[in-house]
Amino acid sequence: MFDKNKMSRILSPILQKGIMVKTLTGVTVRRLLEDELKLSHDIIDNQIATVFLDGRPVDNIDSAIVKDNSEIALSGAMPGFVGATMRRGGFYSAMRAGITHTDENLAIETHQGLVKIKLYNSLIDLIGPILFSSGFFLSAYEVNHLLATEIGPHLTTHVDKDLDGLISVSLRPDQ
Amino acid sequence: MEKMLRINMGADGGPKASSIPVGEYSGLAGRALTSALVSKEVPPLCHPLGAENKLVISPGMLSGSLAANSGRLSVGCKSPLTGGIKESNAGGMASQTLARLGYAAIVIEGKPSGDDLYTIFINKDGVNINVDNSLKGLGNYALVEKLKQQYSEKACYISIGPVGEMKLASASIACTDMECRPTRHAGRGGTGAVMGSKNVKAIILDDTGMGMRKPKDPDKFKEANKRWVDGLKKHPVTGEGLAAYGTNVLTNILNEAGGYPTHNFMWGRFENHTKISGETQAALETERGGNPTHGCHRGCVMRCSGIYMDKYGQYLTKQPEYETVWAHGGNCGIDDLDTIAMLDRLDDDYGIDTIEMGATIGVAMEAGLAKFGDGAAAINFVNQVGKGTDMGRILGSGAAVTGKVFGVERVPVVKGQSMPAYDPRAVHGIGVTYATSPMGADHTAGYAVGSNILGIGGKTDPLSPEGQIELSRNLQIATAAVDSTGMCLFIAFAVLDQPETFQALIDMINAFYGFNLTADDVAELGKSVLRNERAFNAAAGFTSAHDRLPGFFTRDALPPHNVKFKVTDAELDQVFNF
Ligand code: SF4
Repeated sequence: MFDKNKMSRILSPILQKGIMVKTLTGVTVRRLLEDELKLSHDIIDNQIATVFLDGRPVDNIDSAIVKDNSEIALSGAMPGFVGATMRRGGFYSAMRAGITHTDENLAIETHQGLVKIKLYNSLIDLIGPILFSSGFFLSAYEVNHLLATEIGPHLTTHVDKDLDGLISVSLRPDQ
Repeated sequence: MEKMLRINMGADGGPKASSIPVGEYSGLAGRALTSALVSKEVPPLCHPLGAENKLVISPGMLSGSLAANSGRLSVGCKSPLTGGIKESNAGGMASQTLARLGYAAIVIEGKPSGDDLYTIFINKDGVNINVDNSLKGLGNYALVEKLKQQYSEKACYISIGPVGEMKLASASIACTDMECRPTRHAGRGGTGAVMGSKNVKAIILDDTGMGMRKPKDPDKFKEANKRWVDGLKKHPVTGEGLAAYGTNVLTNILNEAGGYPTHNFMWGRFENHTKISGETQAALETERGGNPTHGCHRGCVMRCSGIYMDKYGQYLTKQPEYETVWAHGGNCGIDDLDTIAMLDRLDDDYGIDTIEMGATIGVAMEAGLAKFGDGAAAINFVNQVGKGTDMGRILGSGAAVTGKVFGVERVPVVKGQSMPAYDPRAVHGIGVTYATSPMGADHTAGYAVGSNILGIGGKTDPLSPEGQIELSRNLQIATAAVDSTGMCLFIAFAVLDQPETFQALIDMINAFYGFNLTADDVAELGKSVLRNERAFNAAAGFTSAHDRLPGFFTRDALPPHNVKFKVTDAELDQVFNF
């Protein structure tokens, strides 16, 4: 068995930069977190304090739509006045209204696509292992780097022919 | 804290100290006291480095008591950097120690005629002022080591480095931490230059024989403090978030939001942000045997600080804060944590404000004096400031002076003071505070308790410009009040989200002093601090024209969101209409 702390330390830079997941797109952020990433209600409603969709802070995860090739960044509670302004639906969210994510009201079809997920701070340890068990995609360069670390022997990799240059990585099922 | 120590450095026959009752300043502490005294006693048009300026050092209302996180020290004067009033505060052990010695403030006034350098030693028996020219030119680390041999390991040291002695406008005042290292600085506004102008190198505080300050109603105080600590511990930010990663946890977030000023405010994102993030920093500290979870003074339950070891596992500096990592990191295009930590160490040793220094190096890089990303050049710049070369004296005078000397237009300052790590084009609310704070651009000025909790909340739609003005106003009022309690501003998150924790704070003050303060009274205290500060600045020649951001924030769009600062001048002028 591998040491979970070590896994977090090794995975942290990768998770901060972002990993790719194959998922249904054209759905709301909540649906993606809940149905696709299989995160619990507690994590979604209590632990994820700040959500960015394509670099913009999101206030309402029930209306913001994730598209193919979107980027989602998730963070726990943040210090600082500006940290507080970034919270979803927080009292100070108006202070960053100029960059807030706005819903486009476009009819977007749902279909399989790729989404980049970035995890920050407390969510690295909390959500990282969940994503790792179900598997995600990295560039060949990142996979080589990961295989050379202490957790390398515990990984399975698989080249997805449809996804040019990306390699799926997950924990071996027996781990 | 019913007495005040006045030290006239220019007295006939040499410096004279007198301990006197606080008198008209009774009931005030921290920023409320420093700003009241400076605005009443310092001529607004005086030269900041002249005999008429006063350096006021005051612990907070609850400092020296058992109240958790009550150890912020306020330092006030007329600022050599901004030309306006200044309150700059610091953590470390000084506030607790000074309060336990019973002083509501030390006021250093006048100016010696010669160039002798002085130390001021204060303990329960009184005050000794000595000439010690052997300390000239010492960095804060060597200075404290030397003084520890002479005084005590257990004493607390307030000091300046060579940059304060040179009276440069970016000079800070250092306070020692729990390990007696000079790592906590009243950084902003050049307070170190004012201490240098009084020829005071160090103040040594020894509270041996003095106990904790006693509350008027010990039972009520104990009970309120328990609620207070419980509130801080249960909140996700003050209980866990700050301790795990420190304030540098903000790097990834600001970067994601496109509000992380990069390459001297040219862009809102830094490509290599994950290399210098709080998450990466905490992992590195742990790996090297440092510690990412540490308090800057005894009695801190949030412990946002840490210990940074070099690659050989030797102590290098305290954990650099978010603003420092940004100023020397993304702002200068530097993505190496060891370089940033070395810059932090040099800043602390020479006695320089890390924000001002980082912003200045960014301006120097824009001027072409070095390439963005050149860590060795940045270290060389700081060494030049510490050594006082001609170039170093320009850089040590801050970003505004450096921009003028080298013909740079994009200089991120308000009232001459550098802007911290949040681009106001992405977060307009903080831009309003940068523009209008009497302190110059300051991220902490509008930081604190939620206006909704103080009962002075906004009545207008917060999405409208009026709403943003109202929020900034109320945040500045609340912050001024918190700065007067001696509480670390990071309590704000727990207080902002948990009304019962804010009530615990008021209950602690009431139990300690026998007061009957309400939330309205706390708001009124904050307003009176700001009124004093605004009045001083007005008399010093400041007008609404000084409450503006530099033009490039309204003219140049910030990538990636291509946003500009859109709050109008007329709206900014509404901030202080209370
Ligand atoms: S939270 Fe940080 S700055 Fe505040 S008192 Fe504790 S260590 Fe010092």
